[in-house]
Amino acid sequence: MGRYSGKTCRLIFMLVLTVGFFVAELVSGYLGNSIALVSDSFNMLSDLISLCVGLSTGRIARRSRRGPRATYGYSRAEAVGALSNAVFLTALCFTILVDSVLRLARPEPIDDAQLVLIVGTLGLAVNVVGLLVFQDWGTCCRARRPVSSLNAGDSPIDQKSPEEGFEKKKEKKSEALNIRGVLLHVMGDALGSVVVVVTATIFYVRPLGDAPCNWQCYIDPSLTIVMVLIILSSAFPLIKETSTILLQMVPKGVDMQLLTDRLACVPGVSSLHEVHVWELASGRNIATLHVKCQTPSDYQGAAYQIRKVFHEAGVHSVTIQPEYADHKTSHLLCSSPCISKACDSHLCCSQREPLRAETNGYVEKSESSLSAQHKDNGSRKSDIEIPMEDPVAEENMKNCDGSGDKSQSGSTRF
Amino acid sequence: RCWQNRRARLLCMLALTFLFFVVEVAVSRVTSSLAMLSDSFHMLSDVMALVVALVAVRFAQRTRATKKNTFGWVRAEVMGALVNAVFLTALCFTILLEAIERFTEPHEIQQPLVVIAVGVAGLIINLLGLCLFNHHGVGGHGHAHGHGHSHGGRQQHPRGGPKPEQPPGDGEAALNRDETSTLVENSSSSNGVSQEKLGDMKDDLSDVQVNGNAGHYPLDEEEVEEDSSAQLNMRGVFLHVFGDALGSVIVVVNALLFYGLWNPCPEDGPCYNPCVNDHCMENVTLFRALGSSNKSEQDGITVAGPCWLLYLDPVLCLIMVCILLYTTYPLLRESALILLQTVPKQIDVHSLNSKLRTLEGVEAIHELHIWQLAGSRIIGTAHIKCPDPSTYMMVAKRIKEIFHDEGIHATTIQPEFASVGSESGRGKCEFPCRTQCALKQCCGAGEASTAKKTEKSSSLSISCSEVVIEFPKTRRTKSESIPSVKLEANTDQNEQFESSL
Repeated sequence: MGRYSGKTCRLIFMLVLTVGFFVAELVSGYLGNSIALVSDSFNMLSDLISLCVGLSTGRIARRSRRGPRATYGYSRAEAVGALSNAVFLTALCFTILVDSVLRLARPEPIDDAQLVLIVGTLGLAVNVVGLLVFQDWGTCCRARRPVSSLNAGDSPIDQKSPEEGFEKKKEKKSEALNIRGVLLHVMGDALGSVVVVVTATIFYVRPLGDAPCNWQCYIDPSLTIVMVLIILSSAFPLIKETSTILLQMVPKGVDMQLLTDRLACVPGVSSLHEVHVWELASGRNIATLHVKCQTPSDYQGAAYQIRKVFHEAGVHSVTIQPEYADHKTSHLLCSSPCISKACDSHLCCSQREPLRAETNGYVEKSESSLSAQHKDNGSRKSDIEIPMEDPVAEENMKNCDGSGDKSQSGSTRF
Repeated sequence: RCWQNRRARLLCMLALTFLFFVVEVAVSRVTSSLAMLSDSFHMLSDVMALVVALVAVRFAQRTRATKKNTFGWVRAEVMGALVNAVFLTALCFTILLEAIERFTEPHEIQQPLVVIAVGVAGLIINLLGLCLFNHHGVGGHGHAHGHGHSHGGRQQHPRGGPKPEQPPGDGEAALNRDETSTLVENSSSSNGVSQEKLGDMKDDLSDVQVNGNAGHYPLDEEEVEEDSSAQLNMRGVFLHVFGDALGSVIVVVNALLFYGLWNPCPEDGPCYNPCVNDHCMENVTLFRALGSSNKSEQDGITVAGPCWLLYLDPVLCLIMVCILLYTTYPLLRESALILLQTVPKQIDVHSLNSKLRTLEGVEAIHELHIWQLAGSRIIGTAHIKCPDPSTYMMVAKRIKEIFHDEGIHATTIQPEFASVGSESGRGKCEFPCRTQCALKQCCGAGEASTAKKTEKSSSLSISCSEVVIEFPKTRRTKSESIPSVKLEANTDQNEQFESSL
């Protein structure tokens, strides 16, 4: 597809450019004894590494075939790649910070300001080119689809169908994560070049000669520190965003409270538990839940409605496990957890405290009497104290539209 | 007992390392040795790694589901391990760059004695750290998998007796209690309970929470529960400390050799240092050499010591970088694989699939997904196609048993019922979403080609994407499908489903 050539092409182009310039900058940095230039050239090298990581994870994620080793494919590789890039950048910033502090302790002037200035300007040019390249879609290699900017939420008008629009948006979003990691590096590079140019200009215009270091020698490290702070402040949002995906957090656009309330209102549903919503990769949300119904026909009626609620919430892959309430097990517990209680610690969420508020989407809809608690010995007396049979529960039905009488019938349990 | 707790160990090491960092900075100011100052910052990076691990451990103890994270935060440790591994790789990279720099511009070590002293002190601290974390360090390799059943036996005894609010490890649990109660209070409430009910029950609930956590973490349980995700995290820390220890070893060795073998330039008198590329000295040497070649040795020109000593440092650094990268790569790989939602190593999806299919009453399986949340918590989902609900009730338990045998204890099984009169088996999926959502599903993405599938089904429905092992020709399938649950009994509902498209 077109996006192969677009993104990969850009990355490869940047790769080649960066290699060439890295060598040039390194040599001149040593000749000119400018730590900013040297660290800038090493930033180029780190840029290379981040580009490689970006390229490879993009490739991996694209071959998101499902297989016996990865049932979801590898579409998450981009998030992992972006996180790695961000952490890598943070570590590099840390070392640059250390170097700057050392330089502050022992300042040295730049020897060959002219050379440094020239190379620094070239570096800045390269970095700006890089920034531009990654901003614009399809300037390189003429992607099949028309150009739209990376962050735009609007799909171009000549979409063949809504599906294509969604696909493009999704791919833009997930690629954005990957490219953002690389972009961060390039931006850090650009800032480094700016610092180099500024320092070299100062030393060029006012050469120090043999005089001891005056304020000019402190410009380099202090500007570098400022640069590090800027880079770090832009790396952390990226880290946060990838953490949202990688830690299985609820995706941004989904409000769990609202969702569970709506789900509880679906007719036929007695209670819910083990509601999990997470994001596989940008834009792809997955949910699983256990639903307790009275009868199988209840479940069949409810299943579609449940899916509809999820669809409206933006979650399109849902797996529902129906459980049929019986008087033996508590209405609150999963009727079919693993086969024995010994597995409790291996469950994603412990079954031992199902009555607590936080327990995975537990929603009790109908009023119920104190059912016999068939819990393991790990239960505490507080289990009984929590009143599901609170008459307040009845009032909650008011939230649901037109489910009033259904809830009444649902509340009479066998 | 203090040493058993992960957090306590991390805190101890953190305090030690930070203290040593401060000491090293002070000493470097006194002796004005720049090399020592830069060396001390390696300790600082160690501190950062420990902080990351601590944060991860703290997070991971909140296993309750919250509004922000329905799985709890158990995965934090895996992510901490990944962050530490990447951090370590980045540090190796910078050390590599420094070593290359030293190759081009070799430095002499000033005041080798001081360097030796501080290096030895650092080495001792690092060795202490290695001992602290060794339990998780090298042994961690083999422990990552195979937890499924071994835990079963070990878990029995903590759960045997009643475990109310008084766990055996009192002091420990008290620490947990205090800490986790504050944590839990912060975590927002209810994944599902209606708000009004929650409101009046807040107090009781907070008690429950506190007790719950205390009860959940009695001491021996915590030891037992230190499963592979915690091990990953500790391994990350261990590798950092290991890298630091190697660095200290190199510093000490280098300084020792320097002290012993180096012939330094004395303060007074001319001195020729052949190792440093100094234009000025070259001219002097040339001049002197031209002058009185016979008397050059008696002139008292000291020639600075063997030059290879100056290159020892970078060479050793290179070796250290290689060792570190070699040992970090497995950790990086392992944590990345968990985060990528891959199937855990010990589970064979093929055989699981075939076991499930051979069950009576099961016609087909699709959307089988197995992934590891963290440690021994493996999660599975599957859609099982059965002829009718009663058959499903019969096999449901058996299905769970099969999953349990593989070590997958948290499963969500979605039964689907084949319609009367339609073609059998694998065709239809009770597909959740409308056609345009296909690309937003977990496995409905990518190419929107549905052509392959249309001929299989009679109605509008198209079979949804299936696991590749079942239907090899559909390896790249990203098909769409339409909800089409058909039941024997509820034909009107049937129409309702289809018409709503």
